[in-house]
Amino acid sequence: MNRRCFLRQSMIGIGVVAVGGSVVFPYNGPSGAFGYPAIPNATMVVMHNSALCIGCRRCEVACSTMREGASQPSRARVFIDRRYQESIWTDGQFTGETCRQCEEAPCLRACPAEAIKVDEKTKARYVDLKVCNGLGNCQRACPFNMVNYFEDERKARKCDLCGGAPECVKQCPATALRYVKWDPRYDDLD
Amino acid sequence: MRELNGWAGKILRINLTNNKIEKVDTERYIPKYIGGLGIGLKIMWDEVSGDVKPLDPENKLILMAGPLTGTLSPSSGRLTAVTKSPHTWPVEHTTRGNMGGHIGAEIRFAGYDGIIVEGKAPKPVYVAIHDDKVAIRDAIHLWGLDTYDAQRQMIKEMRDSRAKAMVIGVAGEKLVRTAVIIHDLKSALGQGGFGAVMGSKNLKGIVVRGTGRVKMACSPKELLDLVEYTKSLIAAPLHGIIPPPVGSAASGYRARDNLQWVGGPKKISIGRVDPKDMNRMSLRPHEADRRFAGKMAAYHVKNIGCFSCPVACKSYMTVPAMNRFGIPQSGEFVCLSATWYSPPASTHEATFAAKQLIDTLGLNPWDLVMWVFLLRWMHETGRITEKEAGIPFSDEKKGGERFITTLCNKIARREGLGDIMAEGLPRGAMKMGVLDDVLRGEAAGRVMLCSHGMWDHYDPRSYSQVLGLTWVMDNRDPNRHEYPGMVLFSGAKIEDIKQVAKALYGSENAIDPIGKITPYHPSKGRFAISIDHHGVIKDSLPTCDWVFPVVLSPNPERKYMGDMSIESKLFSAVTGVKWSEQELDKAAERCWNLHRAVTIRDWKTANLRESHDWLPEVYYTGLTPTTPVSTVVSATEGGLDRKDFETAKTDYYKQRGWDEKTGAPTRKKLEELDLKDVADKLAAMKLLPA
Repeated sequence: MNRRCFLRQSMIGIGVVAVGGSVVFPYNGPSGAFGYPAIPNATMVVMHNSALCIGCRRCEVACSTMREGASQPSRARVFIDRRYQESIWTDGQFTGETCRQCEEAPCLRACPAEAIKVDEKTKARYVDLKVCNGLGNCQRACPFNMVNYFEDERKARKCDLCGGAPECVKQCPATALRYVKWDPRYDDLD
Repeated sequence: MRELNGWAGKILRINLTNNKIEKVDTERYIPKYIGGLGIGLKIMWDEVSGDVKPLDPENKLILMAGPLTGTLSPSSGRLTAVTKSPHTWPVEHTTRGNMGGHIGAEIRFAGYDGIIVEGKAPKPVYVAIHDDKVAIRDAIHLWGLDTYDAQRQMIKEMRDSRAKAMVIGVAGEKLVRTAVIIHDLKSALGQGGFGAVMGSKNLKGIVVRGTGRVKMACSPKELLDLVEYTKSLIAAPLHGIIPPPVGSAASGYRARDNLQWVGGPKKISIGRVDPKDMNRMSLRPHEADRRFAGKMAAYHVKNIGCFSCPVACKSYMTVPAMNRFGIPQSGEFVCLSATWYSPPASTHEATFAAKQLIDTLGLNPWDLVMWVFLLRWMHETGRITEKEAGIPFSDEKKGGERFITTLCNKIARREGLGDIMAEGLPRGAMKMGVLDDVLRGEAAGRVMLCSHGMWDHYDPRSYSQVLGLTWVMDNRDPNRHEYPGMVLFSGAKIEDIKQVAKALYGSENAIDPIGKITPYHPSKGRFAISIDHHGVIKDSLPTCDWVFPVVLSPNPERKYMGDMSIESKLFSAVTGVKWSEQELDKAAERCWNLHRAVTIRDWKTANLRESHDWLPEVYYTGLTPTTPVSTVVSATEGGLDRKDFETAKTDYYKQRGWDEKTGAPTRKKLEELDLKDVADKLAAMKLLPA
């Protein structure tokens, strides 16, 4: 990071703390608290079914291939592998992790640069890479660790539902990943 | 090194004698030798002489992924291994193995096309690879652990739960000739004794974590379209295209009315699955249903897939009663790994304990299954008593749990009679003085030992001269499933299959119904050559044998025709090397000729026809196989005709451009395939036919 970049980011950080003073726990409370405007709920979400998942990780491959241009599961926005070991030796009920498109999106609230926005069509929370300045606050804010932060690029990525046609769901051979209507209940499900 | 499309560009070379770690450039081998098996054979030819014994430090364990491993290409997450094999008999020649799971892809994400392990460590070690960081670590605390515990410990020590490991069990440590390398629950480098080779190097295992990428030449959209097209032609593993009850009971396509998975926490209804429904592909097979007709199907939790495989042929099972034996209760299986011990009197617990024991101890069921039949025969005929052998034969009538656990542990730990059995069946039988009975005598119908010292995996008496040819030309059981897939596991009618065979190999005579062999026809030779070439392609790209080549499709509009050019299309798309089907076939032929050259060097004779290319006597006699678990469905009466099979061999050599008298590649053929250096080397050793 060069000096100018550092200064700019510090300024943004200081500015945000000065204005709000509430970035520490910005997601505690209903929409519209702390003077933030309410964000619309997502309409759709990708859900994972542990009982059906066959652990092939085609979702991770499809996600990275279609969105990053090369197969690289460590850069996917959907994770099967992260908790693969804990289930394969015991019961085979894989825990797939997908973005829940939270009602109170902590990632969105945590970004001082306002780089995480709400998609007009699906209302998915997505990262605007032009605005993202690589602070990584969103990654730290997400309680489910679903923001994938690329150290080399200093940019964050998260599931944006591929504009309404998620590639991971299309490639799932077991209907373990489903593209379904968003419901506030999904926030609490494990 | 520049970043390549498809290939990672580096091969990791680990010398355990002097702890030297090198990175070899892949570019010197490609695209000439494709990847996987092709590169493995080339390294073998260049670096390991014919005099090296399998368990010598000079032998090399070559683990190679291919350009497609780790990509979106269906069922491509595989790893091929090449080494001098302690398993093969009578000569310990170079052989190959192939395994699925996730480790092949992980090696590629770590930035390597493969790993060459050479030398021998002075004390037990394991290799830890995290992207470009490679370490040889002490494994004294892992030595003696079962494969599941050792893998978990190694992954723990990586401090990254996303790492993947491959290890040997106790059998590999004790240099059991048939020992395997296990990854995850059951993915195994099986036939060939790779576990013993790894054990001889004092290497407990390899653990890999990769965060890198596999690049491709085409756009993601292009690859996706190709993948979707491929998936539309694949219905189920083993070329299953028509489910029962319309298709045969052996069909690999199982999804039908009222089918359920019932072994998990909740029942899952599968029901009928449309072949066009891509999002339910992996629900179509049901290995437990196909194999056990109810006995074990009650424990089938779900289907499990290897990396990037939408077909998911593995069956995941949980049998809680295993805790009684101190054996892990969850495991996976396909094919023989579960069925190898299931005589009628056995309980499901004995069957599953047998399956778990081979995976945790790192044993090879393809060898053990022969031992069970041989020991039973020896016991029945009074050649061996229960007390002498230390094996409770009488327990078999009571369920068999004690019998099978004793047997497995004895072999893996080389205790008592197990020390002889650990030498593999042919060598063990020789030590016991019953080899003659196994090859042509009383025990032959039961044990079914085929060429290269391996169990008869698809009998030439049932599957015609085509499988006979692939058996004798290969260096292990060929384990190619086109032929049995078409006639048995597809579920389709033989008339439809014959039409497909006519279109692909030029005549309806290329394929016979099971156990009704007709005399040799040149199209059978063409079929065998196609199996060999597509076999090389499968192990080199790699793609899974249970799915590729796509000979059949579930589409009646296509007349059930598949598409044999898919491999070349995927290869071209990913690597950017624009090869047609014929060009890839040529490269496969090159690798197969190199394979033959390596074999000639290992056998130290150019006359493979008389020595290497043989079938045991029993295949030419009318002896009826009586094996209860058997790949024979019905053998042709009277067996193979010896004269007819010799004609088949001659025609195979002729079609290959090899010397008809010896079965060795000629200089002309080798030079045509751009293998002049191989021809020169063979000529210098006086192993090239005049």
